[in-house]
Amino acid sequence: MAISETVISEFDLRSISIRLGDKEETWRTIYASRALQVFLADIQVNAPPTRWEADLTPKEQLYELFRVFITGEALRTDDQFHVMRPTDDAVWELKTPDLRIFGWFIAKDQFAGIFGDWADSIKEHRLYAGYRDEITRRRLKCGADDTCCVWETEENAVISIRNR
Amino acid sequence: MQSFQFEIDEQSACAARFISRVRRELVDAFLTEKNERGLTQNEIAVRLGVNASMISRQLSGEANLTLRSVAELAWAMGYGDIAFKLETAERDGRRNYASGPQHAVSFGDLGVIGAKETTTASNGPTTFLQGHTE
Repeated sequence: MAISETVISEFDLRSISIRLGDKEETWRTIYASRALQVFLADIQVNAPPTRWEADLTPKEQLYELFRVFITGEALRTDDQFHVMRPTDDAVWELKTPDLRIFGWFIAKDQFAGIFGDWADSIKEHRLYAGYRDEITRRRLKCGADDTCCVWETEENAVISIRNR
Repeated sequence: MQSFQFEIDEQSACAARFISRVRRELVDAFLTEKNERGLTQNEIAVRLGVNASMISRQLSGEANLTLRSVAELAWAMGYGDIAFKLETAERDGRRNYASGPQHAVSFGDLGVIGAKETTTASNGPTTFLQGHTE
């Protein structure tokens, strides 16, 4: 499904590009809104440390999240180790130990990431509902609800798995 | 459509891939044992003499893994052997990107203060761990 120019314009969407391994190919696409681009650029440039005792820095966590998503590897959705889960109103959360990204699937295998934030900050300030509501409000405003939104929340409705 | 290039150096990318792959293998093994014989994180913790929260954090990525902790987690889950393999990198200097970086957005466009990192070729060594049940 093609993304409408209105949706691209509303969120200033850009497709996220990462380095891949020799044998890896693009299977899915993940887009970033302007707000998410700013968040990612800050992580990329300033390279903050993990707020846990994680092996990976937040920057490395994001890289691996994007790599797994883009190359079509399996993404856990239904257990305590999930890296992706639906919230209400077809808004999805992608997670790493330190970070969260909120957005929605504009089509199968195409995720529009709108907001990124630190997990501890989201929990401390109870920002889940705020991010979800802001996404649904702007999604409705630009017509994406009718033209490019996967409303089903089952895993196989939003992603396909490479080599499955 | 323009792309946003999320750059990472080859060393960090290699580490991220390997550590994440090891952790996924451990989580897969735990969930397999949980489904097949009801293994719990608490049982693993008791076998290893640590707090159950440590097991949860190690499997979720919130706590780091050492070679020893990988081996001990595998053992506690009933896996008796761990395979480790190094593959030689192809060093032809090419880069493989998810989508073309030629129209990438620069940090300056986003108002982020800081210099853009330089990267080298992405052909790092590939490694993997495998466990199997006893």
